[in-house]
Amino acid sequence: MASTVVPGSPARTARRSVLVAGSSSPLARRRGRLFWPLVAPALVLYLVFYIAPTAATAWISLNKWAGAGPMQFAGWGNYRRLLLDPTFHSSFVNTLWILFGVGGATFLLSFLLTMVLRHLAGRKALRSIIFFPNVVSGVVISILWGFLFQTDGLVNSLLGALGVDNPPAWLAEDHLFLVIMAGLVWVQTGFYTTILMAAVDRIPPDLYEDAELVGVNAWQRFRYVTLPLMWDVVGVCAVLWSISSIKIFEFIYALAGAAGQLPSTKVWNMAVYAYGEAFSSGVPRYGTSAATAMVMLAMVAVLVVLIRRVVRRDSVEY
Amino acid sequence: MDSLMPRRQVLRTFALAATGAAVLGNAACGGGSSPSGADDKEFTYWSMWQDGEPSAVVLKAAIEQFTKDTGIKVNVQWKGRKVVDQIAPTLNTHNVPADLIDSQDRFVKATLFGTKQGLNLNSVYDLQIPGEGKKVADVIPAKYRDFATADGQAWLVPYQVLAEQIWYDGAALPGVTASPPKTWDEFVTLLGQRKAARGGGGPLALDGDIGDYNAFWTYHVILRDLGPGAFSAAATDKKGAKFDDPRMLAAVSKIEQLVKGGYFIKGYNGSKWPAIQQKWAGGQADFLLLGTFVPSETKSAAKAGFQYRSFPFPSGAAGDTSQEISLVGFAIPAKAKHASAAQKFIAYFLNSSRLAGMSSTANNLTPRTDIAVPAVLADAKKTLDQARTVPALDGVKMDQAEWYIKVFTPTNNEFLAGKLTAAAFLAKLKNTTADYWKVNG
Repeated sequence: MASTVVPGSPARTARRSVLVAGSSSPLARRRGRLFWPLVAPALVLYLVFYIAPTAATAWISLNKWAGAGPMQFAGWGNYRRLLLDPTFHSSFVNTLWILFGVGGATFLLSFLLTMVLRHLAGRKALRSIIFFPNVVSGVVISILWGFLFQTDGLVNSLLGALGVDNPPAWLAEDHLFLVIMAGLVWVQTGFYTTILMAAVDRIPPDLYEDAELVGVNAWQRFRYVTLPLMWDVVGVCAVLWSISSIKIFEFIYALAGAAGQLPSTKVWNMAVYAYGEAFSSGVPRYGTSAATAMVMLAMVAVLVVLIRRVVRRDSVEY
Repeated sequence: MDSLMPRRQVLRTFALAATGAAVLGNAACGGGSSPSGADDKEFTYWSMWQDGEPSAVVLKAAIEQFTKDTGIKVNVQWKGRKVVDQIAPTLNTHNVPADLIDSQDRFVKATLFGTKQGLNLNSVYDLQIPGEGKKVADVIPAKYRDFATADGQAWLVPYQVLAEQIWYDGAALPGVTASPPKTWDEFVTLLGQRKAARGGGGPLALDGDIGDYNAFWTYHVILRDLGPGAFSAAATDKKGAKFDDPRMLAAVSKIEQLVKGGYFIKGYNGSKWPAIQQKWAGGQADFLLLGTFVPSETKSAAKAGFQYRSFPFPSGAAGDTSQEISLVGFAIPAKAKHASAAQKFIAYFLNSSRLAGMSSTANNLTPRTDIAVPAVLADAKKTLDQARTVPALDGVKMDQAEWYIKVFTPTNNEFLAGKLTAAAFLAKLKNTTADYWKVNG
């Protein structure tokens, strides 16, 4: 390690100097000896259970493989198949709808609820109620959601009571994806509201009092006090949503699939597509399934980088 | 790195970690097993049934008796319907964890036979069935053996037969029991009468959210008007031109007639399975086109006095009266280490006294003709004994699964929901089929 002063920022130079000085002390040497024994177990687990399967998936995506028997190298053939497969196209579009449509609605509702609940008595109890769909198994929640929208379900009964004689067939293919998206908003809103409310709770009340003294309205209070002071949390939520939304599987599978069958391809997203390629019926297509997984991984990576760039700004100390 | 930790120590750390991983790996793979041979004293069976299901109860009793009679221990694991998916990742390894599995035909054919990882079961048909003085080949009818044989290799030995029929309540419709409709015209006349009797309500039950259930209707009219194999031929026609056949239009127009005529129960395309089949069992519809699992699945919702009766799909222009079927049976992975013991168990289980439980306890049809069937399946059994059998959906879901799921099912769902006319349905199928084969041909 260099012992001369390296060019760079003052902070980096100072840190480097501490390291250089520290490396010669007995304490630092003992610490150094412990570095690999402490890091290695976690590193091995990470390599075995994360990096290796990811590398294997990347390799499988370049092969034609039925999950058993010999692999046949296909190069970019599986990716080309995805480009030409109309089912993949619709799955990709559905994934984007979930990412942006469900995400947008979820965040909008979460912000609204955060603002409304701030002033309500019993807000902790309300927060628990809103969070409830996250506690229940996703499969159970999605099946329940399906029953609500049956022809004779609660939604149509309510509409009937309101005088709607011919309510839509919600679970027909025309409306099914809409029902799925609404269900996802319902399930996710509580989670993000809880996180955003926690961020709002730590904003000092005197800032709001100051704002009221200068006569701001509700929108201005949100725009100039709340949002800037919770911006870092919003960024984390956006990253969390991007990662989780692309992987959403069980809600669609359990709501729209039944009797051991996959849902109609019209409601597939990329996660269901990846599953369907490997496990639907017929000779499994692990190659295209793995290629889909790699596309999903690339999407997540691009989105996270973009979101980090968009939300990057100096955090406000308070 | 060297300044933080001596190289020797680094190597030692990795060696320890690698040893640990190897130990874990070996433990996960299970203990060693003796190579396959006639002296196997145990084998492992992964079942498609969940513990406690009627079929599992029958198998469990047979397993216990098998161990008593032969001394061969059976390590059974009740895996459930996804058993083939679970064993698939292991088939390429030298530690295939099961010596025997069972599943529905299409899963075994795709994953074991399709990847050349299934054992050729021809020799099982030559085994003697203990206690009967007959071979397996003597009790399994050739039509079922042929169904589960490809390229001269038996890939499945069946122990259950599933068949689609039109189900109804014999107590509510004694006239149908006396004279079930044999032709399409008779069937439509009957539907008209029942619709009128119901005050305009549709007499046909259909859980339209299940793609297969919609497909059964379309497939059957094609089968009856164009004969066995026509649906499969259309699916594999690279230009989709077989969908231009005027007979095809005549056939699917019958479905259009049912949809437009309001013969399907209200809400059939806006409900979640099993809502509609339960309504049917409760008497809110008259007829249900579905498999021989109907009595088991709907028993809890059936109204008092319900008598399960069924008749085959009415004949059409081709005069075809064949009965489509699918099979549930045993298969053995090619690398099973105790294949011999597993084969012995298959032959043992096919003894009529043991297999009879699949009928009497589990309410299923078996491939043996000499086993009494439950009363609820008597009509289906009668058809099976007399009719030519063909693979369900012409085997398309088994052999052309991607086309079936991505091309046919979405379009057919639209058709059954009344979103497409018969002509538009065929035109769309023709185009999407041609597009599909351009990529996959």
